[in-house]
Amino acid sequence: MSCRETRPLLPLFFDGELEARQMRAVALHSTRCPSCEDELRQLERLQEVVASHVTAMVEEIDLGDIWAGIAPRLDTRAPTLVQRLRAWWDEREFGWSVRAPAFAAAALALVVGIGMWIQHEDPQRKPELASRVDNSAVLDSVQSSVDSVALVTDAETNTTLLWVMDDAGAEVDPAVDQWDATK
Amino acid sequence: MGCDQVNGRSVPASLVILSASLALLGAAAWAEESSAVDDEVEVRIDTILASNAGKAFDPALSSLRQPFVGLFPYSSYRLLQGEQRRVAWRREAEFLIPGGRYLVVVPRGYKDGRVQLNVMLIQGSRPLVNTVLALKNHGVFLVAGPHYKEGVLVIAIGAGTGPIAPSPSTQVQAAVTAHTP
Repeated sequence: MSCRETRPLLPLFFDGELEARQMRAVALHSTRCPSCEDELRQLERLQEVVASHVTAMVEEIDLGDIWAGIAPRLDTRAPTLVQRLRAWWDEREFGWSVRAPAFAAAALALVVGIGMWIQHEDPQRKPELASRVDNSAVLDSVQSSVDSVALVTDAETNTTLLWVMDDAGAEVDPAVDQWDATK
Repeated sequence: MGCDQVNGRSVPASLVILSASLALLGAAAWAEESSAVDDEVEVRIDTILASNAGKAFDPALSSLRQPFVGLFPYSSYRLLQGEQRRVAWRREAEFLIPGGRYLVVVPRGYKDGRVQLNVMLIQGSRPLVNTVLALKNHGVFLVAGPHYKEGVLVIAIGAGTGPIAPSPSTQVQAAVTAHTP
């Protein structure tokens, strides 16, 4: 890399804004070229001068009044509902004879609310569980034209099965049997 | 602020909170009870072919697996059709069943968490079975035995009022679509 190619890249090299390949090439050239190395040192000195000047100016600024300007604006914010309730509660100076039942009532209301929320969270869940757990049926009467009928109950789910011994049913009228195309 | 004033203000406040909580409890209980009964009953009829041809359990019948395993000796259970309807109290609802049968269901009333039903399974002009039962709300009652193809039909009769029935309805509909040629 020549000096002509390197010079325009020196500020970018100094700021670390070149690609790795160009950084390597500029660095290699600068170590061998006193003129470009001198250019880099000038850039370093310039940066030092600017930095020291800015620092000196910042140190001269008086920040002591900043908080005095911010604090009044903070006070103008409206208190939240919780803050207002808290302030109301603190102002009343309630004793534990009052706080205890109030806390109990609040806890009760919370429990009721959670219970209702759980109950209505998924309306399909409860019936589904209920049907799995209890399918019990009470039969008031059974009439049948077949030879025999059996009543069986599943102990796990209380599901009742009415078994119809329908031997005659094996002979199904194909004309009305839209489901059995093979017969 | 004096003690008397504190008590004078706070007691009514806590009473109000307690009263509100109790009212909330009462309202919740009333809402639950009133929502248990509806103007109509959700009745669903699933017809299943049970056989020993193969070994398979229709995924659409997952909610019925437990009672089927406990009640039947078959190795294959396939959902043939499923139908769900809202039926007004004391009104007849007819469901066609494969094999030329049909099922008549009449919801008669609701008492003690049970739906009272009249169920008739009819073949031609012959009533195979006619029963009156009180089924747990959203419960399932099974009628089985009629021959069909290589096995027997199992008819699962579900009825529920109030919050929407559990049902296999969506699964059933999907299965019907899948099985219908």
